[in-house]
Amino acid sequence: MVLFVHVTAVIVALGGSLFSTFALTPILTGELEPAARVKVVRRVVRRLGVIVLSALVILVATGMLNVLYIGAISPLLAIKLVLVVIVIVLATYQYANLGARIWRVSENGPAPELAPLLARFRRVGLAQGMIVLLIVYLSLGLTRVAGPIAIG
Amino acid sequence: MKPTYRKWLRWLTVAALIAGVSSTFSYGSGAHLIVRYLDPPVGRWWNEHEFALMIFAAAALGMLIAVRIGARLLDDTAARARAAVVSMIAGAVVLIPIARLGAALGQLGWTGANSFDTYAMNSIVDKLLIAGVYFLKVFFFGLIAGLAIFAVVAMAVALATPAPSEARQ
Repeated sequence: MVLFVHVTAVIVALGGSLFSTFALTPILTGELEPAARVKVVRRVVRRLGVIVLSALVILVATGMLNVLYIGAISPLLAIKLVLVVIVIVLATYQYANLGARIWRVSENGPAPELAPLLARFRRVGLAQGMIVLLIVYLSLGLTRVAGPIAIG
Repeated sequence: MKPTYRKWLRWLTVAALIAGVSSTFSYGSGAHLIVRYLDPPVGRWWNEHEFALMIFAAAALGMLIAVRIGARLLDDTAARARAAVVSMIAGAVVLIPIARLGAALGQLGWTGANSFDTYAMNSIVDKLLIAGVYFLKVFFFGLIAGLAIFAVVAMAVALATPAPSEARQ
């Protein structure tokens, strides 16, 4: 059950960020006028921040319980934990700093300083997504049964 | 003038560091014997509580360092102060379960063996090393938990802070 919640939280955090970066943002850019786009973007940033950061808290809590279940702190797990720290720091910077600034700057519609903020928001999100993918890859090594399956 | 929360944060961090280092050193070196020699009841009390003090100080230190790191990530001074204060309170509320969980996790070794299995048989240098590494492990789990708490608190503070025009209304 703990593992299920852990994996679900990864899907929510990573899926939300990827959807926003690769599906929502390009569509908004192509379909909406700048004023309407900014209105939607600032709300998406806030909503996504709540979802991603809540998922991160669930990830940390269930992750700690999973380590207890695994019963060892291997070098692989130690690397994963360091990457988790980096992801939390990046996510906090992305949503609580850049997200809050986007919210303030875009209050009266499109502003010149909004574009660089949004670009940085996307870059930080992408970096974070790549580290999360690396964490997922490392996690496979932690959960996979050791050694090949004997045939015959 | 520095905000009050920064003074508290610094004071608590120093207190947790001193408590953690002294209890870890005492636990690893068996220094309670010296205290017992000087004052038997105090020495007995210290021997019974030094391990608990070590894990609580390690977890608290990790969470306080997390608040310091998190506060540096925010650019709005008012939001930073609010997030730091709320995170410190939230950290204090969950300190006991986090410290206990960190203590259980810290005992896990590379191979899954309990780090304290052969503790009593080791020399004083080995005991100090085992206790020191254990302290760092509990500290690290406290740091992760503290960062997660700060992240969600910072977001909540950002949501609760109205945009400038909303605040003017």
